Amino acid sequence: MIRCLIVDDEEIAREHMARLLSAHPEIGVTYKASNGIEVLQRIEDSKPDVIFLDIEMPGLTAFDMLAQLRHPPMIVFATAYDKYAVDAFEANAIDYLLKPIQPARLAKAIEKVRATLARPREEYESILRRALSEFRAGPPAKVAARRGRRIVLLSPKEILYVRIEDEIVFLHSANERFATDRTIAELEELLAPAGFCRISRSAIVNLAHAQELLPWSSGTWKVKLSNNTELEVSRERARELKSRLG
Amino acid sequence: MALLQVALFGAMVGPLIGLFFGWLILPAVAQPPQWVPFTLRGWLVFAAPAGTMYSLVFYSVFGLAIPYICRRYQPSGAARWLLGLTGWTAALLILTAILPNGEWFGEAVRARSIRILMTMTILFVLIGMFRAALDRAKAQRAAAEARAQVKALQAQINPHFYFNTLNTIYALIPVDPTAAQRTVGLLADMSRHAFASAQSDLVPLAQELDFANAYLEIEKVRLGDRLQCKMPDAANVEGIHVPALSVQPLIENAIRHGIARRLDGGKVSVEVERSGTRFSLTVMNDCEPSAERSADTFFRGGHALDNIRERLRLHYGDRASVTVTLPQPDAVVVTVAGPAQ
Repeated sequence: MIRCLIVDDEEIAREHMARLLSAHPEIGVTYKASNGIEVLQRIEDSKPDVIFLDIEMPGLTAFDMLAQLRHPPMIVFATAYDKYAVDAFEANAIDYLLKPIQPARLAKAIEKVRATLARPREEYESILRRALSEFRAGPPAKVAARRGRRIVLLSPKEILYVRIEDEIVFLHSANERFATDRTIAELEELLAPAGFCRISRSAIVNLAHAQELLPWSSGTWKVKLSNNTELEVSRERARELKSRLG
Repeated sequence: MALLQVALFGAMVGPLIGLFFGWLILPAVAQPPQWVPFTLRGWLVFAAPAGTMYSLVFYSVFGLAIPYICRRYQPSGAARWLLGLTGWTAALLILTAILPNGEWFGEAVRARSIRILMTMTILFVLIGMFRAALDRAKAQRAAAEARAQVKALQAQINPHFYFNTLNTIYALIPVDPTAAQRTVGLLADMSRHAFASAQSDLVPLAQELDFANAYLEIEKVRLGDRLQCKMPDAANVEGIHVPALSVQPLIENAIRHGIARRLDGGKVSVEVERSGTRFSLTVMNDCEPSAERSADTFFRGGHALDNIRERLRLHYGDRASVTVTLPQPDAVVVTVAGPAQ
Protein backbone atom coordinates (compact mmCIF):
# COMPACT_ATOMS: atom_id res chain seq x y z
CA MET A 1 0.00 0.00 0.00
CA ILE A 2 1.17 3.50 -0.73
CA ARG A 3 0.66 5.59 2.41
CA CYS A 4 -0.51 9.05 1.62
CA LEU A 5 -1.21 12.28 3.43
CA ILE A 6 -3.57 14.97 2.13
CA VAL A 7 -2.89 18.61 2.99
CA ASP A 8 -5.45 21.27 2.12
CA ASP A 9 -6.87 24.03 4.25
CA GLU A 10 -10.36 23.51 2.80
CA GLU A 11 -12.30 20.64 4.21
CA ILE A 12 -14.36 20.20 1.06
CA ALA A 13 -11.21 19.97 -1.03
CA ARG A 14 -9.60 17.48 1.39
CA GLU A 15 -12.60 15.20 1.37
CA HIS A 16 -12.81 15.47 -2.38
CA MET A 17 -9.18 14.45 -2.74
CA ALA A 18 -9.75 11.50 -0.41
CA ARG A 19 -12.73 10.43 -2.49
CA LEU A 20 -10.75 10.68 -5.70
CA LEU A 21 -7.96 8.63 -4.15
CA SER A 22 -10.38 5.98 -2.92
CA ALA A 23 -10.75 4.91 -6.53
CA HIS A 24 -7.17 3.65 -6.28
CA PRO A 25 -7.10 0.68 -3.91
CA GLU A 26 -3.31 0.69 -3.68
CA ILE A 27 -3.42 4.13 -2.04
CA GLY A 28 -4.17 4.41 1.66
CA VAL A 29 -4.88 7.84 3.10
CA THR A 30 -3.26 7.85 6.55
CA TYR A 31 -3.99 11.44 7.51
CA LYS A 32 -5.71 14.58 6.29
CA ALA A 33 -4.10 17.80 7.50
CA SER A 34 -5.38 21.34 7.17
CA ASN A 35 -2.03 23.13 7.52
CA GLY A 36 1.73 22.71 7.59
CA ILE A 37 2.03 22.59 11.36
CA GLU A 38 -0.35 19.65 11.51
CA VAL A 39 1.84 17.94 8.94
CA LEU A 40 4.95 18.49 11.06
CA GLN A 41 3.06 17.15 14.07
CA ARG A 42 1.67 14.07 12.39
CA ILE A 43 4.31 13.07 9.90
CA GLU A 44 6.04 10.74 12.36
CA ASP A 45 2.92 8.65 13.09
CA SER A 46 1.44 8.74 9.64
CA LYS A 47 4.72 7.98 7.83
CA PRO A 48 3.47 8.91 4.38
CA ASP A 49 5.15 7.78 1.18
CA VAL A 50 3.54 10.66 -0.65
CA ILE A 51 1.93 13.97 0.30
CA PHE A 52 -0.77 15.56 -1.82
CA LEU A 53 -0.06 19.14 -0.93
CA ASP A 54 -1.98 22.31 -1.67
CA ILE A 55 0.50 25.14 -2.07
CA GLU A 56 -1.66 27.73 -0.35
CA MET A 57 -1.70 27.04 3.35
CA PRO A 58 -2.14 29.09 6.50
CA GLY A 59 0.63 29.36 9.07
CA LEU A 60 3.59 27.94 7.24
CA THR A 61 4.08 28.01 3.48
CA ALA A 62 4.23 24.68 1.69
CA PHE A 63 7.86 25.27 0.73
CA ASP A 64 8.96 26.31 4.22
CA MET A 65 7.21 23.26 5.60
CA LEU A 66 9.00 20.94 3.16
CA ALA A 67 12.34 22.49 4.05
CA GLN A 68 11.73 21.47 7.65
CA LEU A 69 10.99 17.80 7.06
CA ARG A 70 13.92 15.57 7.90
CA HIS A 71 13.03 12.94 5.36
CA PRO A 72 10.55 14.51 3.00
CA PRO A 73 8.32 12.00 1.27
CA MET A 74 7.36 12.25 -2.38
CA ILE A 75 5.33 15.40 -3.07
CA VAL A 76 2.45 15.90 -5.47
CA PHE A 77 1.40 19.53 -5.50
CA ALA A 78 -2.19 20.51 -6.00
CA THR A 79 -2.99 24.05 -6.99
CA ALA A 80 -5.91 25.92 -8.41
CA TYR A 81 -3.97 28.27 -10.60
CA ASP A 82 -0.35 29.00 -9.73
CA LYS A 83 1.15 26.49 -12.08
CA TYR A 84 4.25 28.64 -12.31
CA ALA A 85 4.89 28.04 -8.63
CA VAL A 86 5.43 24.37 -9.26
CA ASP A 87 7.13 24.57 -12.64
CA ALA A 88 10.46 24.49 -10.87
CA PHE A 89 9.51 21.17 -9.38
CA GLU A 90 7.97 19.55 -12.37
CA ALA A 91 11.33 19.22 -14.03
CA ASN A 92 12.50 17.34 -10.98
CA ALA A 93 10.16 14.37 -11.23
CA ILE A 94 7.71 15.81 -8.74
CA ASP A 95 4.21 16.06 -10.07
CA TYR A 96 1.53 18.65 -9.77
CA LEU A 97 -2.23 18.56 -10.23
CA LEU A 98 -4.40 21.46 -11.29
CA LYS A 99 -7.73 21.86 -9.53
CA PRO A 100 -10.39 20.76 -10.23
CA ILE A 101 -8.47 17.52 -10.35
CA GLN A 102 -9.46 15.19 -13.15
CA PRO A 103 -9.49 11.48 -12.23
CA ALA A 104 -7.51 10.54 -15.36
CA ARG A 105 -4.82 13.09 -14.52
CA LEU A 106 -4.69 11.84 -10.95
CA ALA A 107 -4.18 8.27 -12.21
CA LYS A 108 -1.18 9.47 -14.18
CA ALA A 109 0.27 11.22 -11.13
CA ILE A 110 -0.15 8.03 -9.09
CA GLU A 111 1.61 6.11 -11.82
CA LYS A 112 4.49 8.54 -11.54
CA VAL A 113 4.55 8.21 -7.76
CA ARG A 114 4.70 4.42 -8.07
CA ALA A 115 7.59 4.62 -10.51
CA THR A 116 9.49 7.02 -8.27
CA LEU A 117 8.89 4.97 -5.15
CA ALA A 118 10.36 1.95 -6.89
CA ARG A 119 13.70 3.77 -7.02
CA PRO A 120 15.95 4.33 -3.98
CA ARG A 121 14.54 6.88 -1.59
CA GLU A 122 17.80 8.82 -1.25
CA GLU A 123 17.73 9.57 -4.95
CA TYR A 124 14.36 11.20 -4.64
CA GLU A 125 15.22 13.03 -1.44
CA SER A 126 18.27 14.65 -2.95
CA ILE A 127 16.28 15.70 -6.01
CA LEU A 128 13.66 17.29 -3.76
CA ARG A 129 16.26 19.06 -1.64
CA ARG A 130 17.97 20.48 -4.69
CA ALA A 131 14.65 21.65 -6.13
CA LEU A 132 13.73 23.23 -2.81
CA SER A 133 17.01 25.07 -2.42
CA GLU A 134 16.69 26.39 -5.97
CA PHE A 135 13.15 27.41 -5.40
CA ARG A 136 13.28 28.84 -1.94
CA ALA A 137 15.49 31.83 -2.44
CA GLY A 138 16.37 33.35 0.90
CA PRO A 139 15.62 32.35 4.46
CA PRO A 140 12.46 30.59 5.66
CA ALA A 141 9.78 32.90 7.05
CA LYS A 142 9.16 30.51 9.94
CA VAL A 143 11.07 27.71 11.62
CA ALA A 144 9.19 24.98 13.44
CA ALA A 145 10.24 23.84 16.92
CA ARG A 146 8.63 22.11 19.89
CA ARG A 147 7.45 23.52 23.18
CA GLY A 148 6.65 20.33 25.04
CA ARG A 149 4.38 18.43 22.65
CA ARG A 150 3.18 21.49 20.78
CA ILE A 151 4.74 22.74 17.60
CA VAL A 152 5.44 26.46 17.53
CA LEU A 153 6.62 28.59 14.64
CA LEU A 154 9.49 30.97 15.23
CA SER A 155 10.52 33.69 12.90
CA PRO A 156 14.32 33.55 12.38
CA LYS A 157 14.54 37.05 13.85
CA GLU A 158 13.30 35.82 17.23
CA ILE A 159 15.97 33.13 17.41
CA LEU A 160 19.11 34.34 19.19
CA TYR A 161 21.07 31.15 18.95
CA VAL A 162 20.88 27.40 18.44
CA ARG A 163 22.76 25.09 20.78
CA ILE A 164 23.09 21.40 21.53
CA GLU A 165 22.30 20.77 25.18
CA ASP A 166 22.37 17.19 26.49
CA GLU A 167 22.35 15.91 22.91
CA ILE A 168 19.16 17.77 22.08
CA VAL A 169 19.19 20.72 19.72
CA PHE A 170 17.47 23.80 21.14
CA LEU A 171 16.45 27.05 19.47
CA HIS A 172 16.79 29.88 21.96
CA SER A 173 14.63 32.98 21.85
CA ALA A 174 15.31 35.91 24.21
CA ASN A 175 13.84 34.08 27.20
CA GLU A 176 12.75 30.60 26.14
CA ARG A 177 14.13 27.54 24.46
CA PHE A 178 12.46 25.21 21.99
CA ALA A 179 13.56 21.71 21.11
CA THR A 180 13.91 20.56 17.53
CA ASP A 181 14.55 17.20 15.89
CA ARG A 182 16.82 18.66 13.28
CA THR A 183 20.57 18.33 13.40
CA ILE A 184 22.72 21.39 13.94
CA ALA A 185 24.17 20.96 10.45
CA GLU A 186 20.68 21.05 8.92
CA LEU A 187 19.82 24.16 10.88
CA GLU A 188 23.09 25.79 9.89
CA GLU A 189 22.17 25.29 6.24
CA LEU A 190 18.55 26.37 6.75
CA LEU A 191 19.40 29.49 8.73
CA ALA A 192 22.55 30.67 6.95
CA PRO A 193 20.55 32.87 4.53
CA ALA A 194 18.82 34.46 7.56
CA GLY A 195 22.17 35.75 8.86
CA PHE A 196 23.18 32.94 11.21
CA CYS A 197 26.75 31.77 11.72
CA ARG A 198 28.09 28.51 13.15
CA ILE A 199 30.45 29.38 16.00
CA SER A 200 31.38 25.95 17.33
CA ARG A 201 30.57 22.30 16.95
CA SER A 202 27.56 22.81 19.19
CA ALA A 203 26.26 26.32 18.48
CA ILE A 204 24.96 28.72 15.81
CA VAL A 205 24.32 32.41 16.52
CA ASN A 206 22.06 34.95 14.91
CA LEU A 207 24.50 37.69 13.87
CA ALA A 208 21.79 40.31 14.27
CA HIS A 209 21.80 39.56 18.01
CA ALA A 210 25.59 39.37 18.44
CA GLN A 211 26.76 42.41 20.34
CA GLU A 212 30.34 41.90 21.49
CA LEU A 213 33.23 39.63 20.77
CA LEU A 214 35.24 39.13 23.96
CA PRO A 215 38.69 37.50 24.04
CA TRP A 216 38.66 34.29 26.07
CA SER A 217 41.35 31.79 26.91
CA SER A 218 44.20 30.86 24.53
CA GLY A 219 43.00 32.29 21.24
CA THR A 220 39.33 31.45 21.70
CA TRP A 221 36.61 34.07 21.93
CA LYS A 222 33.24 34.53 23.46
CA VAL A 223 30.35 36.23 21.71
CA LYS A 224 27.91 38.21 23.81
CA LEU A 225 24.29 38.28 22.62
CA SER A 226 21.53 40.83 23.06
CA ASN A 227 20.10 39.02 26.13
CA ASN A 228 23.60 38.93 27.69
CA THR A 229 24.15 35.23 27.00
CA GLU A 230 27.80 34.51 26.30
CA LEU A 231 28.70 31.67 23.97
CA GLU A 232 32.10 30.21 23.32
CA VAL A 233 33.51 30.52 19.81
CA SER A 234 35.85 27.77 18.73
CA ARG A 235 39.27 28.73 17.44
CA GLU A 236 38.66 27.57 13.87
CA ARG A 237 35.30 29.40 13.62
CA ALA A 238 36.51 32.66 15.15
CA ARG A 239 37.94 34.03 11.93
CA GLU A 240 34.73 33.52 9.96
CA LEU A 241 32.66 35.03 12.73
CA LYS A 242 34.94 38.07 12.91
CA SER A 243 34.82 38.62 9.16
CA ARG A 244 31.03 38.27 9.11
CA LEU A 245 30.62 40.67 11.99
CA GLY A 246 32.80 43.10 10.04
CA MET B 1 22.44 84.52 -18.62
CA ALA B 2 19.24 83.78 -20.49
CA LEU B 3 19.40 87.21 -22.06
CA LEU B 4 22.95 86.60 -23.22
CA GLN B 5 21.91 83.32 -24.77
CA VAL B 6 19.00 85.00 -26.51
CA ALA B 7 21.26 87.76 -27.83
CA LEU B 8 23.77 85.25 -29.11
CA PHE B 9 21.01 83.26 -30.75
CA GLY B 10 19.75 86.40 -32.50
CA ALA B 11 23.24 87.31 -33.66
CA MET B 12 23.62 83.90 -35.20
CA VAL B 13 20.17 83.53 -36.69
CA GLY B 14 19.87 87.19 -37.83
CA PRO B 15 22.20 86.74 -40.81
CA LEU B 16 20.28 83.65 -41.91
CA ILE B 17 16.98 85.47 -41.73
CA GLY B 18 18.61 88.39 -43.52
CA LEU B 19 19.38 86.08 -46.41
CA PHE B 20 15.80 84.85 -46.41
CA PHE B 21 14.43 88.38 -46.48
CA GLY B 22 16.81 89.35 -49.23
CA TRP B 23 15.38 86.54 -51.27
CA LEU B 24 11.84 87.53 -50.29
CA ILE B 25 12.18 91.23 -51.10
CA LEU B 26 14.38 91.00 -54.15
CA PRO B 27 11.75 90.45 -56.84
CA ALA B 28 9.62 93.28 -55.50
CA VAL B 29 12.16 96.04 -55.64
CA ALA B 30 14.30 97.29 -58.46
CA GLN B 31 16.75 98.92 -56.13
CA PRO B 32 17.45 96.76 -53.13
CA PRO B 33 17.23 98.80 -49.94
CA GLN B 34 20.41 99.30 -48.06
CA TRP B 35 19.42 97.17 -45.10
CA VAL B 36 18.84 94.18 -47.25
CA PRO B 37 22.23 92.62 -47.03
CA PHE B 38 23.10 91.88 -50.63
CA THR B 39 26.65 92.83 -50.08
CA LEU B 40 28.85 90.88 -47.73
CA ARG B 41 29.48 94.08 -45.81
CA GLY B 42 25.83 94.96 -45.45
CA TRP B 43 25.01 91.46 -44.46
CA LEU B 44 27.66 91.20 -41.76
CA VAL B 45 27.21 94.71 -40.38
CA PHE B 46 23.42 94.87 -40.27
CA ALA B 47 22.00 91.40 -40.08
CA ALA B 48 23.67 90.25 -36.88
CA PRO B 49 22.81 93.33 -34.75
CA ALA B 50 19.29 93.39 -36.19
CA GLY B 51 18.90 89.70 -35.38
CA THR B 52 20.08 90.36 -31.83
CA MET B 53 17.55 93.14 -31.37
CA TYR B 54 14.72 91.06 -32.81
CA SER B 55 15.66 88.13 -30.63
CA LEU B 56 15.86 90.21 -27.46
CA VAL B 57 12.58 91.99 -28.08
CA PHE B 58 10.69 88.82 -28.91
CA TYR B 59 12.20 87.11 -25.91
CA SER B 60 11.13 89.95 -23.62
CA VAL B 61 7.60 89.87 -24.97
CA PHE B 62 6.97 86.15 -25.50
CA GLY B 63 9.48 84.68 -23.09
CA LEU B 64 9.03 87.01 -20.13
CA ALA B 65 6.03 89.34 -20.29
CA ILE B 66 3.36 87.01 -21.70
CA PRO B 67 4.26 83.98 -19.58
CA TYR B 68 4.12 86.26 -16.54
CA ILE B 69 0.66 87.51 -17.50
CA CYS B 70 -0.47 83.94 -18.18
CA ARG B 71 0.75 82.74 -14.81
CA ARG B 72 -0.77 85.69 -13.04
CA TYR B 73 -4.17 85.89 -14.73
CA GLN B 74 -4.60 82.45 -16.27
CA PRO B 75 -6.35 83.62 -19.46
CA SER B 76 -8.12 80.99 -21.53
CA GLY B 77 -9.03 80.36 -25.18
CA ALA B 78 -9.76 83.57 -27.04
CA ALA B 79 -8.01 85.70 -24.42
CA ARG B 80 -4.83 83.76 -25.06
CA TRP B 81 -5.04 84.41 -28.79
CA LEU B 82 -5.72 88.09 -28.16
CA LEU B 83 -2.77 88.26 -25.82
CA GLY B 84 -0.55 86.62 -28.44
CA LEU B 85 -1.69 89.06 -31.13
CA THR B 86 -1.18 92.03 -28.80
CA GLY B 87 2.27 90.77 -27.93
CA TRP B 88 3.05 90.39 -31.61
CA THR B 89 1.94 93.96 -32.41
CA ALA B 90 3.78 95.29 -29.39
CA ALA B 91 6.98 93.54 -30.40
CA LEU B 92 6.81 94.96 -33.91
CA LEU B 93 6.07 98.46 -32.59
CA ILE B 94 8.99 98.28 -30.20
CA LEU B 95 11.25 97.09 -32.97
CA THR B 96 10.16 99.88 -35.29
CA ALA B 97 10.78 102.34 -32.51
CA ILE B 98 14.20 101.18 -31.45
CA LEU B 99 15.66 100.25 -34.78
CA PRO B 100 17.08 103.45 -36.29
CA ASN B 101 15.48 104.73 -39.42
CA GLY B 102 17.46 105.09 -42.60
CA GLU B 103 19.94 102.33 -42.69
CA TRP B 104 17.66 99.57 -41.38
CA PHE B 105 14.17 100.85 -41.72
CA GLY B 106 14.49 103.32 -44.54
CA GLU B 107 11.84 104.61 -46.93
CA ALA B 108 11.99 101.56 -49.13
CA VAL B 109 11.39 99.32 -46.18
CA ARG B 110 8.57 101.37 -44.78
CA ALA B 111 6.92 101.15 -48.18
CA ARG B 112 7.10 97.41 -48.05
CA SER B 113 6.73 96.84 -44.35
CA ILE B 114 3.13 95.80 -44.92
CA ARG B 115 4.39 92.97 -47.09
CA ILE B 116 6.93 91.94 -44.45
CA LEU B 117 4.31 92.15 -41.74
CA MET B 118 1.92 90.00 -43.76
CA THR B 119 4.55 87.39 -44.48
CA MET B 120 5.55 87.25 -40.85
CA THR B 121 1.93 87.04 -39.73
CA ILE B 122 1.17 84.23 -42.12
CA LEU B 123 4.26 82.41 -40.91
CA PHE B 124 3.18 83.00 -37.34
CA VAL B 125 -0.34 81.72 -37.96
CA LEU B 126 0.99 78.67 -39.80
CA ILE B 127 3.34 77.86 -36.94
CA GLY B 128 0.47 78.36 -34.50
CA MET B 129 -1.80 76.03 -36.46
CA PHE B 130 0.93 73.45 -36.68
CA ARG B 131 1.48 73.63 -32.94
CA ALA B 132 -2.25 73.39 -32.27
CA ALA B 133 -2.53 70.30 -34.50
CA LEU B 134 0.41 68.73 -32.67
CA ASP B 135 -1.18 69.49 -29.30
CA ARG B 136 -4.47 68.01 -30.42
CA ALA B 137 -2.78 64.82 -31.60
CA LYS B 138 -0.92 64.64 -28.32
CA ALA B 139 -4.10 65.13 -26.29
CA GLN B 140 -5.82 62.42 -28.33
CA ARG B 141 -2.92 60.08 -27.75
CA ALA B 142 -2.98 60.82 -24.02
CA ALA B 143 -6.73 60.16 -23.88
CA ALA B 144 -6.27 56.87 -25.75
CA GLU B 145 -3.50 55.94 -23.38
CA ALA B 146 -5.66 56.74 -20.37
CA ARG B 147 -8.43 54.56 -21.82
CA ALA B 148 -5.99 51.74 -22.48
CA GLN B 149 -4.71 52.17 -18.94
CA VAL B 150 -8.18 51.86 -17.51
CA LYS B 151 -8.66 48.75 -19.58
CA ALA B 152 -5.37 47.27 -18.44
CA LEU B 153 -6.14 48.22 -14.86
CA GLN B 154 -9.66 46.88 -15.08
CA ALA B 155 -9.75 44.24 -12.45
CA GLN B 156 -11.35 40.91 -13.19
CA ILE B 157 -12.34 37.93 -11.12
CA ASN B 158 -9.09 36.64 -9.67
CA PRO B 159 -8.24 33.47 -11.61
CA HIS B 160 -7.00 31.85 -8.44
CA PHE B 161 -10.35 32.37 -6.79
CA TYR B 162 -12.18 31.32 -9.94
CA PHE B 163 -10.42 27.97 -10.22
CA ASN B 164 -10.65 27.32 -6.51
CA THR B 165 -14.38 27.91 -6.74
CA LEU B 166 -14.69 25.53 -9.69
CA ASN B 167 -12.89 22.97 -7.57
CA THR B 168 -15.25 23.56 -4.66
CA ILE B 169 -18.29 23.12 -6.90
CA TYR B 170 -16.77 20.00 -8.43
CA ALA B 171 -16.20 18.59 -4.96
CA LEU B 172 -19.70 19.53 -3.75
CA ILE B 173 -21.58 17.92 -6.64
CA PRO B 174 -21.59 14.33 -5.31
CA VAL B 175 -21.91 15.17 -1.60
CA ASP B 176 -24.13 18.27 -1.49
CA PRO B 177 -25.77 18.97 -4.84
CA THR B 178 -27.89 21.80 -3.40
CA ALA B 179 -24.81 23.64 -2.14
CA ALA B 180 -23.13 22.98 -5.49
CA GLN B 181 -26.07 24.56 -7.31
CA ARG B 182 -26.10 27.53 -4.97
CA THR B 183 -22.38 28.07 -5.56
CA VAL B 184 -22.81 27.86 -9.33
CA GLY B 185 -25.52 30.50 -9.01
CA LEU B 186 -23.23 32.78 -6.99
CA LEU B 187 -20.37 32.35 -9.42
CA ALA B 188 -22.78 33.16 -12.26
CA ASP B 189 -23.85 36.36 -10.45
CA MET B 190 -20.24 37.34 -9.98
CA SER B 191 -19.37 36.62 -13.61
CA ARG B 192 -22.36 38.62 -14.83
CA HIS B 193 -21.27 41.64 -12.83
CA ALA B 194 -17.66 41.25 -13.96
CA PHE B 195 -18.62 40.97 -17.65
CA ALA B 196 -21.11 43.83 -17.48
CA SER B 197 -18.74 46.20 -15.74
CA ALA B 198 -15.90 45.49 -18.14
CA GLN B 199 -17.46 48.20 -20.32
CA SER B 200 -18.44 50.70 -17.68
CA ASP B 201 -16.04 52.79 -15.67
CA LEU B 202 -17.97 53.77 -12.59
CA VAL B 203 -20.69 51.64 -11.05
CA PRO B 204 -23.02 52.16 -8.09
CA LEU B 205 -21.44 51.07 -4.83
CA ALA B 206 -24.57 49.01 -4.07
CA GLN B 207 -23.75 46.81 -7.08
CA GLU B 208 -20.21 46.41 -5.89
CA LEU B 209 -21.44 45.36 -2.46
CA ASP B 210 -23.74 42.74 -4.01
CA PHE B 211 -20.76 41.42 -5.92
CA ALA B 212 -18.69 41.33 -2.73
CA ASN B 213 -21.52 39.54 -0.88
CA ALA B 214 -21.64 36.80 -3.53
CA TYR B 215 -17.89 36.51 -3.26
CA LEU B 216 -18.04 36.25 0.54
CA GLU B 217 -20.69 33.57 0.43
CA ILE B 218 -18.46 31.44 -1.79
CA GLU B 219 -15.45 32.03 0.45
CA LYS B 220 -17.58 30.94 3.43
CA VAL B 221 -18.32 27.65 1.72
CA ARG B 222 -14.60 27.15 1.32
CA LEU B 223 -13.21 28.49 4.57
CA GLY B 224 -16.09 27.52 6.85
CA ASP B 225 -15.85 28.82 10.41
CA ARG B 226 -12.44 30.31 9.77
CA LEU B 227 -14.10 33.26 8.05
CA GLN B 228 -16.31 35.74 9.86
CA CYS B 229 -17.51 38.83 8.10
CA LYS B 230 -19.61 41.90 8.52
CA MET B 231 -20.93 43.83 5.54
CA PRO B 232 -22.53 47.29 5.48
CA ASP B 233 -26.19 47.95 4.81
CA ALA B 234 -26.63 48.48 1.08
CA ALA B 235 -29.44 51.01 1.71
CA ASN B 236 -26.99 53.60 2.95
CA VAL B 237 -24.91 53.86 -0.20
CA GLU B 238 -27.31 55.57 -2.63
CA GLY B 239 -25.50 57.89 -5.02
CA ILE B 240 -22.01 56.61 -4.32
CA HIS B 241 -20.12 55.43 -7.39
CA VAL B 242 -16.82 53.61 -7.47
CA PRO B 243 -14.68 52.10 -10.25
CA ALA B 244 -16.04 48.72 -11.27
CA LEU B 245 -14.64 45.77 -9.34
CA SER B 246 -12.83 47.86 -6.79
CA VAL B 247 -14.48 46.76 -3.55
CA GLN B 248 -14.39 42.98 -3.79
CA PRO B 249 -10.60 42.90 -4.46
CA LEU B 250 -10.09 44.74 -1.15
CA ILE B 251 -12.04 42.05 0.65
CA GLU B 252 -10.33 39.29 -1.30
CA ASN B 253 -6.95 40.73 -0.29
CA ALA B 254 -8.04 40.82 3.32
CA ILE B 255 -9.03 37.16 3.10
CA ARG B 256 -6.19 35.77 1.01
CA HIS B 257 -3.34 37.64 2.66
CA GLY B 258 -4.90 38.09 6.08
CA ILE B 259 -7.46 35.59 7.25
CA ALA B 260 -6.55 32.56 5.11
CA ARG B 261 -3.00 32.71 6.46
CA ARG B 262 -4.13 32.50 10.06
CA LEU B 263 -4.54 29.04 11.45
CA ASP B 264 -7.72 30.00 13.29
CA GLY B 265 -9.00 32.34 10.59
CA GLY B 266 -10.38 35.74 11.50
CA LYS B 267 -12.82 38.49 10.77
CA VAL B 268 -13.21 40.98 7.96
CA SER B 269 -15.53 43.95 8.44
CA VAL B 270 -16.56 46.41 5.77
CA GLU B 271 -18.07 49.75 6.70
CA VAL B 272 -19.33 52.67 4.65
CA GLU B 273 -19.61 56.16 6.09
CA ARG B 274 -20.73 59.33 4.42
CA SER B 275 -20.49 62.90 5.50
CA GLY B 276 -21.86 65.59 3.25
CA THR B 277 -20.55 65.07 -0.27
CA ARG B 278 -17.90 62.50 0.64
CA PHE B 279 -17.89 58.82 1.43
CA SER B 280 -15.36 56.49 2.95
CA LEU B 281 -15.32 52.72 2.73
CA THR B 282 -13.25 50.83 5.28
CA VAL B 283 -12.13 47.22 5.08
CA MET B 284 -10.65 45.94 8.32
CA ASN B 285 -9.23 42.48 8.80
CA ASP B 286 -7.20 40.29 11.12
CA CYS B 287 -3.84 39.10 9.87
CA GLU B 288 -0.75 37.26 11.00
CA PRO B 289 1.23 39.58 13.25
CA SER B 290 4.30 40.85 11.47
CA ALA B 291 6.91 43.40 12.37
CA GLU B 292 8.07 43.87 8.78
CA ARG B 293 4.67 44.86 7.43
CA SER B 294 4.36 48.53 6.62
CA ALA B 295 1.67 50.51 4.85
CA ASP B 296 3.96 51.07 1.85
CA THR B 297 4.22 47.38 1.02
CA PHE B 298 0.54 47.41 0.10
CA PHE B 299 1.11 49.66 -2.89
CA ARG B 300 3.76 47.74 -4.69
CA GLY B 301 3.19 47.72 -8.45
CA GLY B 302 0.73 45.11 -9.63
CA HIS B 303 -0.83 44.84 -6.21
CA ALA B 304 -4.62 45.10 -6.15
CA LEU B 305 -4.48 48.25 -4.02
CA ASP B 306 -2.17 49.99 -6.45
CA ASN B 307 -4.58 49.12 -9.25
CA ILE B 308 -7.58 50.46 -7.35
CA ARG B 309 -5.77 53.66 -6.42
CA GLU B 310 -4.80 54.25 -10.07
CA ARG B 311 -8.35 53.71 -11.25
CA LEU B 312 -9.77 56.02 -8.59
CA ARG B 313 -7.24 58.65 -9.62
CA LEU B 314 -8.24 58.33 -13.29
CA HIS B 315 -11.89 58.92 -12.36
CA TYR B 316 -11.73 61.29 -9.44
CA GLY B 317 -8.23 62.78 -9.56
CA ASP B 318 -7.23 64.20 -6.21
CA ARG B 319 -10.72 63.90 -4.81
CA ALA B 320 -10.27 60.20 -4.03
CA SER B 321 -7.71 58.32 -2.00
CA VAL B 322 -6.75 54.86 -0.81
CA THR B 323 -4.92 54.60 2.48
CA VAL B 324 -3.65 51.73 4.57
CA THR B 325 -3.20 51.84 8.32
CA LEU B 326 -1.97 49.17 10.69
CA PRO B 327 -3.67 49.91 14.01
CA GLN B 328 -2.24 46.73 15.58
CA PRO B 329 0.43 44.29 14.44
CA ASP B 330 -2.32 41.79 13.63
CA ALA B 331 -4.83 44.05 11.89
CA VAL B 332 -4.97 45.92 8.60
CA VAL B 333 -7.36 48.75 7.72
CA VAL B 334 -7.78 49.90 4.14
CA THR B 335 -9.81 53.05 3.58
CA VAL B 336 -11.13 54.24 0.24
CA ALA B 337 -12.45 57.79 0.28
CA GLY B 338 -14.05 59.74 -2.54
CA PRO B 339 -16.85 62.06 -3.59
CA ALA B 340 -20.45 60.91 -3.21
CA GLN B 341 -22.83 62.68 -5.58
